[in-house]
Amino acid sequence: MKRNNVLIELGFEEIPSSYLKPGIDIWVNKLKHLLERNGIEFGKIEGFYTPRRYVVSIKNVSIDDSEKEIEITGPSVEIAKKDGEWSSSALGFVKSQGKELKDLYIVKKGKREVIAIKSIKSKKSLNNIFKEKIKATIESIRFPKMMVWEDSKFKFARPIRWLLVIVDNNIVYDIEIADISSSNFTIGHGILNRSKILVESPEKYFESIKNAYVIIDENDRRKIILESFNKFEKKYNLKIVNDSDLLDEVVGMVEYPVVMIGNFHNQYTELPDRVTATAMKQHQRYFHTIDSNGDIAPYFVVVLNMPLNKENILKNNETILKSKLEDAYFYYTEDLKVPIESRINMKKEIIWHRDLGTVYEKEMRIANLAKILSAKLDLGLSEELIRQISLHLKIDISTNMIRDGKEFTKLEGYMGRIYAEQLGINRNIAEVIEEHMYPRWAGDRLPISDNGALFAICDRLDSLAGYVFKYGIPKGSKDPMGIRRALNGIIDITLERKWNYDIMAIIALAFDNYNQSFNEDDIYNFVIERIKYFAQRENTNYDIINAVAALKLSDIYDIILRARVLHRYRYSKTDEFNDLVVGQKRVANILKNVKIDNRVIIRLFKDEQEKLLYDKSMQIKDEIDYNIKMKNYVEVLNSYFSLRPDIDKFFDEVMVMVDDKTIRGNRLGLMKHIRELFLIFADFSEIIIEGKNEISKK
Amino acid sequence: MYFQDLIFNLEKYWTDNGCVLSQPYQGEVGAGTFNPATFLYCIGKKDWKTCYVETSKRPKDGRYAENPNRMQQFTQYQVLLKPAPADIQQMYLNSLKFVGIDILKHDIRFVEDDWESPTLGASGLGWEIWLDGMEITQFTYFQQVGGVEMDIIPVELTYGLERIAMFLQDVDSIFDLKLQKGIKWGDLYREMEYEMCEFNFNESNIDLLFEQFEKYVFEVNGLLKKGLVFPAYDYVIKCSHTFNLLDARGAISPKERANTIFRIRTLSNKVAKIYLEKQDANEKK
Repeated sequence: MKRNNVLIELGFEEIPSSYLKPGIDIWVNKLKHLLERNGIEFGKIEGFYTPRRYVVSIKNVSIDDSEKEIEITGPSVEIAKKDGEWSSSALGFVKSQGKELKDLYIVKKGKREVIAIKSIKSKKSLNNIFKEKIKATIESIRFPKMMVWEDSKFKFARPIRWLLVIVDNNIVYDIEIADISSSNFTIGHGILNRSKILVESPEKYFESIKNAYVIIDENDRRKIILESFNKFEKKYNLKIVNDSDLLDEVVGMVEYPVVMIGNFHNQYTELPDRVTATAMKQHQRYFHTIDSNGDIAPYFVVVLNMPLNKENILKNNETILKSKLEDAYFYYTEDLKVPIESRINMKKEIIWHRDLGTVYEKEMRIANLAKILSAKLDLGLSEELIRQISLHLKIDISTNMIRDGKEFTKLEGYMGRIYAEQLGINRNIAEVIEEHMYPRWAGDRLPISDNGALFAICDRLDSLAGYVFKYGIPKGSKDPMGIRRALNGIIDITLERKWNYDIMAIIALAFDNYNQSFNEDDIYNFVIERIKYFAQRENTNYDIINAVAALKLSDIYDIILRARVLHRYRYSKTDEFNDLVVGQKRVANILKNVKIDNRVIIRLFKDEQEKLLYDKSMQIKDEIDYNIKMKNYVEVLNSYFSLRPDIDKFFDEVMVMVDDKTIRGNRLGLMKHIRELFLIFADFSEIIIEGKNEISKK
Repeated sequence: MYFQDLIFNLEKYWTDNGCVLSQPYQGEVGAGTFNPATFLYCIGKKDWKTCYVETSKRPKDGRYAENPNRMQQFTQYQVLLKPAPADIQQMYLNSLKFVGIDILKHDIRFVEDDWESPTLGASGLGWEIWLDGMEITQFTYFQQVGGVEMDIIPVELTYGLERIAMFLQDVDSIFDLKLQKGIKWGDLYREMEYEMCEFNFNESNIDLLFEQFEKYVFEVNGLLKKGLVFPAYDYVIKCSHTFNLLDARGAISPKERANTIFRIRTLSNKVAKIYLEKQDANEKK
């Protein structure tokens, strides 16, 4: 058996940095599986990437191409023999294997007897396996966005331009993929070395590619960059803000990193920190630096992909950054010239939405909602403060910085706070201007103050009502106006603040602001759908939310609190919990389609157990009511659990649907009484018993 | 090297590579992609290679002639090759050499940019090309145009001419860009930039623009009902520019902006769809 090294390189046009690592991980895994499935042993397998190539190196691959005798089995003897003779099925079997009837014999396979033949087969060679299967492994690499570029419509992140497969010292030719076929060359650095480099062996490959200005291991590239950072930090007495996302991105943008430090005019350090940092990072992918006071320093760090003529290149980069900062400076100084009254007036001109009025009108609607909600939450905001905050809430919407439409637009809120402070607005108000923008996306930071949270919720509720009235509730995957995101934000903030309030009441006000009515059921279901989405992130299943939502509760925090307790018991006391649910399902089933007006009349109890159940339920009713009021939900569940043996026993011993109308009525009344006792907390019959094939609607 | 030499060189290079020299669009467009030579002709089954200069107007980008790099009007060189050649990256790099950029002495980078023209319903994958950190070209493999999935994938190259020329002439300000002996960009366009900025930011008539916008939309739909794709498309372009003016004037909020873009895209998509249907019908004849 021979042991060889294998090298595979897939060459492509520059793939986005963030796609590279996940893609190569998938590919290495697929290749591993391919070898394992074919019984091929191998040593170390490693994946490397640059923007222009994936490289997989597999060490010590055992290639066994010796011949082996193997046994192939066919149909059972009953089928293969008829009246002592071989049947047509037996003949078919031997023919399919290229053998004759005389080669047949009978073997035991498990409990059956089957026919078999012996055959000599050589194992598939590695070359053949690669030829047949490499394409499929490449096809299985998925990227966030994929494209087509040639007639076969092969999908990849960017066009594939070459494929090199070397097994030991042999090139595997003619593996076809998209419009290329595998050959005997690699290509070096995307600018410095674009001509074909012939390769003979894996060892030679690593040597040639290094000489062609390609460092294939991302760890090596990262090391080079970090070492340079260190050097510059010492030399310039600065700290390079090592933004790990940016570093990851840059490592995937170059094949041959060269780090340089440049500077810009001091005047631009007067800009708000995030503006300067944004100008460097967002488009240019420069690292910004801070001095010993933590202030932005007039230096930037750039990672080049070109080792030659570096000084000239640095100068050009400085010119570009200067123009970016100049632009920001223009925005900033122009924006600060506009007095606060004009900013307010401008909002009266800017349309928030074609049919939903101006930005100023939106602010006034938000003020209405904030007044009511802050009173409900007892936040102690004066009407005057609410009016002041609302008047400035969208102060930055008319500024040049935010209207930029590119990287600076993302600073909405932050710029509002900066401008407000610069224009002399009270800090408490300025803070809300920034805070009310959060969260901007799923997982973004949340407002840190009550006031910020209040206005974040009211702004989103106003958008929600306006958009729903204009476009309806989003269906399917489409949500161009971000209605779902707005509601998700409201839920996140509410839970983080632990705020109890009736969201349906505030939504009603939000619609009132537009003089619109709305379908309460639809909106309620939409809110519940988003709560389920949230609950899923805590691993709480949708049926638990259904159980709580069946009560038509509209206090988001309360719904989640109840759901959390149910979820916890479902997994900590699974058996008891399931029994409890089953009991409530039986109760609910019995009550289905029957009309009950009977109250429970104690003297009509005929059976010991029905009386017992009733007495017990009356004993715990008060404590349930009390604990619901106090939101001691664990205690509520404990009360229910204490009733469980009596419910089970009742069903074991007592028949509800007896002929006697009076007794039946009384027992149904008891069932209704029990059901109502549980419905104070949740409708347990909505909960799915796992593993029992219960089907429930979402 | 004068600014026009850059144009001559690109024209020479790409026509030698088989492109038809098309002409700039006769009205206001935000990019060369709007020109029917790209937007319409890249739809359908026929091969097509073209190159042309396009004057691009982006009202919001003006800086009253105060910023050396940003103007409300600039010049693009547009190349469209359908189908995209396999060695297109090399062809592009050769074009840079051809206009006098020593690519071995600069940091040239293909940086991820999923290009999209929201108003045209066009999108593709590719890069912006960096020259020492400066974006000089947009390089895109179209996947969809006017909402129509591309059957044969075209590649679009859009060069930013002023930037490249400034680089070649080694000047820091566009106003110093040499157009011809003794004539600089600033001599010709400084006044215009200032006045256009006054118009774009302060003087354009918002009510008139809103009114025009709605009438243009109406016109597109009417023309399309009659199957008149080319004039309908002219009015889509007018919608787009009118929207850009409203946007520069600050007359619409970010959310309403998204909404208006969506309306224009709907029109572009209708144009593209009907154009494609007519192409298919012609083929069957």
